[in-house]
Amino acid sequence: MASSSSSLPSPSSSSSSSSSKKLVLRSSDEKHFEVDEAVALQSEMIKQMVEDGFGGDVIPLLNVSSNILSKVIDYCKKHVDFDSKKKMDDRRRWDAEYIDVGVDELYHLIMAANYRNIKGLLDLTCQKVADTIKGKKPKQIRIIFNIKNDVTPEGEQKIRKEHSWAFE
Amino acid sequence: MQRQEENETKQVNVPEEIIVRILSRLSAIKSLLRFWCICKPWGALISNQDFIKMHLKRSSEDQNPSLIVYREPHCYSIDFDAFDLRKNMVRLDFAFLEELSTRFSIQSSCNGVLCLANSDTVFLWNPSTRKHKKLPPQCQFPGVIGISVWTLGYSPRTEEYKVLRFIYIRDESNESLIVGWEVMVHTVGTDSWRNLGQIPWNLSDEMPWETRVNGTPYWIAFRWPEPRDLIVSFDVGDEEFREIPIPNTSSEEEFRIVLKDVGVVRGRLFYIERLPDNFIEVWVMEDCEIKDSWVKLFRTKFDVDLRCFKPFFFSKDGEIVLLEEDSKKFILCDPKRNVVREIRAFPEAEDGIAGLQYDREVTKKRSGRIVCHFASVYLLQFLNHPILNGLYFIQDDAGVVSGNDANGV
Repeated sequence: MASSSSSLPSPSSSSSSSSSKKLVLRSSDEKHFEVDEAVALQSEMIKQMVEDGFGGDVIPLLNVSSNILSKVIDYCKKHVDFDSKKKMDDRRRWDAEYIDVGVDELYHLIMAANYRNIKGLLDLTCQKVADTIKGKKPKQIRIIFNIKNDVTPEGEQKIRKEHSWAFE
Repeated sequence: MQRQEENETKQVNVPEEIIVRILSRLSAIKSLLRFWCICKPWGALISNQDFIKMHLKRSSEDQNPSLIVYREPHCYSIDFDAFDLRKNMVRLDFAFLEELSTRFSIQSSCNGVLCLANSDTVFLWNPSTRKHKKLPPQCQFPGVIGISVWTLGYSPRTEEYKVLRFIYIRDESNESLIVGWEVMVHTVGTDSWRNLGQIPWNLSDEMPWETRVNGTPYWIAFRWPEPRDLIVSFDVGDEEFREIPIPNTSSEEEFRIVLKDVGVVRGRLFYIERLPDNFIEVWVMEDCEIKDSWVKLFRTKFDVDLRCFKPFFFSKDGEIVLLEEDSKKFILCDPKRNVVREIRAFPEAEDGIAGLQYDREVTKKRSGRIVCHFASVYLLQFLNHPILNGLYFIQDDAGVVSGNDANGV
């Protein structure tokens, strides 16, 4: 599904950075991704690893599958471009399209962003979840987050009574 | 691969730090109230003070303030993040106010809580939680002829909300002449008002009256009888007024009339001068603890004469939001591109916004319109929530709050 070639910078974005240093990332399913250092350094975790001298080797990302990693790299690449251009409207439009994914993929993106410490992607994914759950009922939320209801019926009744309008 | 992911989802275990991140991004307080009963950890998180502060901080950073407008007999909030403001006008539920017989005006707002007043009663009202609190009766001033205005402030240091009441003192022989202001203060959660005495400044009484940065109110003012303008702030924790010199601009040597205002940009105070020839000059205070930390942001020229527009705040896109004095439209000025956009908020209202027209009888130049971070915020109610304290909030039909809650609004 993913290959190292799929993650190479596209010609349009590589002109200025073709000579820059590359890093190789390895997904949990053993796929290798070669990316510009600037792209990989969007991740605070990788930045730390490079600073600690791991940059020359393949960087293993044990918790991230290749399809999620490929998507995460898309994000980082695009945002390296955005950082240099600073067009807010373009960025917002691109982000909105990028994050229009199913719940499963969203979950894995959050976990990857959290694990690799990519602040922008973490903010984007968490905001997406917040927007998604905003109008949902408590019951639906428990299903989405796999939560066991441990609130007593009396406790729940009290909250519902106090803020009945919020449950309408 | 797909199957594997589905399996993983069934055992989703979202780490707590992620839950915190997600919930702190829920701008609708209604959702947070509803999610309170999802499970005990969520309930504990949502009512946690650190979470509340984080939520407040995030919403004030990420969102533009909403505009609260009072058009009798209803109150509306208008979402600034949408281009077409008319489509984003939401009627607020303020049933308790409809039951009050006398007219009220919106006096002030802080962290999403509004301060409302009519001639004899002051309320705090949190539209996000639909809770309100009637403040204790205010004492009468014998011999003082004047009207009052109220300001709400917050001290992050002492975590106290306080309401200031400014009473105009008029000259006994010439009632149109204001000779001083007496100030009373009430700490929310206590049962009395205290007198802070007279202040030596004339706080400019144009709308919008004050600007609030991190809970601290600021005014453009001058000290009687000197004509020199300055900025006065009120430290809510210490209950002290402070003078801050305005930046050293050369405008007054250049022009006879310079219109001065203060507002908020990214959680900091800005100072703006509107000048002839369509120029504006903006300064920002880098550090509110250091009086001389003014930094000039820009001086730029627009195609529109901005002297009849009152500046409010910088939007999160860096545009200055200004309201026309007759209240029919807003304009947004982008200083980077020198572009001015215009938003007509109330085309159907021939006479502007009812609440915008100040009522001389009651409040002199006080508007019924307030900009605040309304959509985002829900403080007070949560800070000392009766459910959390095991107390009950008793609210009778007349909207009078009683019971043993000390601080709940």
